[in-house]
Amino acid sequence: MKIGFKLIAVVALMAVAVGCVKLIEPTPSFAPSTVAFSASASATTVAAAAADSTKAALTVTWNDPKFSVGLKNSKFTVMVGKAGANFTTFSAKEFANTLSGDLTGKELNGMALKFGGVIGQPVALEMMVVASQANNNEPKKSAVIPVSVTAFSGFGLAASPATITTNPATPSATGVTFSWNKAFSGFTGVITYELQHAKNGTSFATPTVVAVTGFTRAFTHLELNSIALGYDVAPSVAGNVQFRMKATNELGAISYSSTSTVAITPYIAINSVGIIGDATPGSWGTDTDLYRPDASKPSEWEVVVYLIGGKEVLFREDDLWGTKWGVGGKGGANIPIANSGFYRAKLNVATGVYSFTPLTVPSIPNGLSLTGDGIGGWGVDTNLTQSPTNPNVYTGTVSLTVGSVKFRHTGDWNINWGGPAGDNDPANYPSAWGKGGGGNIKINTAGSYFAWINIATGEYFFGNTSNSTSYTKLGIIGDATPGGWSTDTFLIQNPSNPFKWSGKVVLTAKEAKFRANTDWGLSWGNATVFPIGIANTENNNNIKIASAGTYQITYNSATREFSFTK
Amino acid sequence: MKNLKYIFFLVSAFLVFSCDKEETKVTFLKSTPPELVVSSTANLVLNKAQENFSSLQFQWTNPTFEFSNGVNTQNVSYVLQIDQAGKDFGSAKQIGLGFTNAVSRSFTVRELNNTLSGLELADFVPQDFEFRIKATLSNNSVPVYSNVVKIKITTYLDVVFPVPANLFITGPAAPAPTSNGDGWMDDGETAVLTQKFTQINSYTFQINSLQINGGKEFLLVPVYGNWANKFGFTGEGAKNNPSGDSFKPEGNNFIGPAASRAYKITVNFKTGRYSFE
Repeated sequence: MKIGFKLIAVVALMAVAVGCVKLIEPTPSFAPSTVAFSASASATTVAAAAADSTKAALTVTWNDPKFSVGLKNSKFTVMVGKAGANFTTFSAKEFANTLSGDLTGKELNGMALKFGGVIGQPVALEMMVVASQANNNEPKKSAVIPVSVTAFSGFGLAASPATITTNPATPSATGVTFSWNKAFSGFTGVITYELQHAKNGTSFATPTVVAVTGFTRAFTHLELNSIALGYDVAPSVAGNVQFRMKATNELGAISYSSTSTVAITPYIAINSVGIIGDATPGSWGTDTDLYRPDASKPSEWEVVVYLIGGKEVLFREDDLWGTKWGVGGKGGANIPIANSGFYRAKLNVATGVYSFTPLTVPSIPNGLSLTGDGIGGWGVDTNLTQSPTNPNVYTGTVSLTVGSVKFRHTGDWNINWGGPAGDNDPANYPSAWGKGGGGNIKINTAGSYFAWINIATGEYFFGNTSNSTSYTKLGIIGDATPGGWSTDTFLIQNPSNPFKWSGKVVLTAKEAKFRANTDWGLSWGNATVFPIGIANTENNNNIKIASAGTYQITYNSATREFSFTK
Repeated sequence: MKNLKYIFFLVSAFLVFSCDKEETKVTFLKSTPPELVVSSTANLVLNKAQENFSSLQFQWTNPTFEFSNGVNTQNVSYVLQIDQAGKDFGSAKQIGLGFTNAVSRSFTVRELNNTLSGLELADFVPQDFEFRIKATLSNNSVPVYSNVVKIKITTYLDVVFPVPANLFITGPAAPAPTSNGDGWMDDGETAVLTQKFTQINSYTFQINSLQINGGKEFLLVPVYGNWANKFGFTGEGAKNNPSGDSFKPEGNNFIGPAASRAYKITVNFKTGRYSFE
C-alpha cells in the first residue's frame, strides 16, 4: 500500500506541476522608456527649387527611445509649426520603424506657405519630433529644431499654340488654349485663380482680368482678335500679347505664373458697313449703315431698307470705296434690284455672300399705339402719330412709368412689335431693331419720352423730349478730334433714320463732345463712360478718349446713345 | 494516516500554485488628464464663402495610462465632446466625435460648421461652445477628461436647398380630398391648412400628426395649388424608403409608409432629408 500511495502522490504531484505550467503564463511587462529622446535636422536653412520638389530637402534624424514595444512598433511624428507659436497649429509627417525621415521640397514648401511664407522670402519655422508607440502612447518630445524655409512658386502657364492668325470666318472656333499647373506647390488649402492679359511691354501695369475655372482656358478667334486690336496690334501684322495667371491662396498670399507671350495676327476689324446706290435712300451719295445683330458673329451684317426697283446697290466699308462688295463678293459689280420694296439686306463680309429678302409692311388701319404696364396697363392703347413725311414712322411724346411696354396695331395684339431680345432684356432699350412679337421693352425710369418707330424696318427708340427734332448737322468736337475745340468733324446722317449719325474719325487720347448745328447750346458728353454710353447735358461732361486711334463713331441724337469702336 | 498526509500535502501544493495565478492580475494604477489645445480661442465667425478654408485645429495629449505591469500599450479611445457653455457637457444634443489613438483633428470651415450645427443652436449669432477630450481605454473604462476650452463661434445656415417660406404635402397619401378627386392638388386650388407644415426652425418643417393613407404617393410643395415648384425623391419615382429619404427640387413622387395611421413628418433642408415617425 505504501508503494501504491507513493506512486499516486508522485503522479498527482506531476499532474499538478504540469497543470501549473499551463495556468501560470508569464505576465507581459511594459517597462517605460528611460532613454532620453533627441532629434536633429540635416540643415537649418532650406530653399528648394520647383524642379527638385519631390526630392528630400531636409533629413531629420533621431535616436531609438527603446520603447518596450520595440522600434518596429514605434512611431515618429515630425511636427512643423511657425517659430515661436509653440505648435498650436502644425503640419506633421509620420514615420515608423526608422531612425530618420525626409521632408521633400514640396512638403516643406506647403508647410512654409501654411505658416505665413511668401514666395521667394524665408520664413522661420520650428520642428519637433514626437516619439511614441505606434498608437501614440508613451509620447516623448525632442527639443525644438529651428529651420528657415524659402517658399518657391513653380507656377507655370503654357499657351497652345503660341502663334495664331485669327480668322473672321471661324469666330467661335478655339484659337489658343492656356493651361497652368497648381500654384503654391504643396499647399493644401483653397487657391483661386484668374488669368490676366496685357499689352506687350507694359509689365501688366493695368491687366485685363479673365475669370477661370479648372486649369485651362480657351480663347476663340473672335476673343483673340478683339484682345489684339485692343492692344493696338495692327491688322494683318503679328503682335505680341502677354498672358499670366494670378493665384491667391486662402491666407491671402499671391503668386504669379510665368508669363506666356502669344503672337496674334488679327484680321481687319470691319466696324462700319453701308449699303449705297441709286436704289437706296441715300442714292450714290450717302450710305445706309448696316448693323451686326449678333456680336458673336462679327462678319454678319444686316439692315432693313427700302430699295427702288430697276436700280442698283453696292456694299462698302467705312463709307469709302476702298473695300466694296457686289455681285460675286468682294470687289464685284453693282447688284441690280428688280422690284421696289422693303428688304432685309444681309452681307457676310468674310465670305462676301449677301442676300435680299423682301418684306411686307403690315397694314394698320387703326393706327399704332404703345401699351403695357409702363403706360397705363396692358391692353390700354396710347396712340402715336403717323409721320407726315414717312407713312411707316409713328412718333409721340408719351408719359411712361416704371414698367414694360410694346408697340401694337391699336386694339389688336395680332400685330405688335417688341425688342429683339427676351422680355425686359436691357438690350431692348432705349433703342433697338425691333421685331414682330418681340420681347417686352422695360422702362426703368418714369418720365416723359419721345417714342419713335418705323414699322417697315422695326427700328424704334425712346428718346429725350428735348431732342425730338432731328438736326441738320451733327459733329464731334474737342482736342481729341482733328478740328480741335474750334471746328466740328461732322458725322453722316443716316438716310433712313435722321436721328442716327456715324463716321470714321481719327482721335487722340484727349477729350471730345457731340455738337449739333455747330451750336454749343446743343452739345452732349459724358465724363465717366467710354467707349459706349449715353451722353448728358451736365457741366464738365467731356468724353475722355481712352487711347488714340481711328474710331467708328455712332450717335443717336434723340436717345444720346454713343459708341466708339476702333 | 501517513497516506492522508501525502494527499493533504498535494492539495496544499495545488492551492499554493492556484494562489500564484491570482497574484499576476494586472491592475490600473493612474492616468494623466489629457491636455486639449486649440489653434485659436479667439471669437470665430464661420463664413459660407470660405467653407473650404482651414479652420480650427484641435490637439490633445495622450493620458499615459499606467498599469501594474508598466506603461499602457492598449489603444486609447478619445471623444472630442462639444456642448453649449454652461451645460457641463450634459445637454441632450451634445456632440461627441470619436477617435482611436489620434491626438489631433483639423476642421475646415464647413466641417466645423456642420459639426456645431448638431447642437441646433441659432445660426448667425455668436454662441459659446465648450470643448473637451474624454479619453478611455477601448472598453470605455477608466475615463479621464481634459481641460475645457471655451470658444465663441458664429455658425452659418448651410442648407442643401433654399428654404421655402411655406411647405405643404399633397398627393393620395395625404388625407384631404382634392377638387379632381385623385388626391393631387390642382393649379389654383385653395391651400389645405391641415396639410401645411410648421417651420420649427430656420431649416426644419414639421407636421406633428397627419393621418396618412398607407402605400400611396405624395409630393411636397412650397405653394399649395401651384405646381411651379415641388420637392420630390432624388431617385426613381416611388422607390424611396417609405419611412424617410432624401429629397430635391423637381424630384419624383415619394411613396408614403405602408400602414395607414397618423404620422409625425419632418422635412430638414439642412440635410435634404425627410422622415415619417
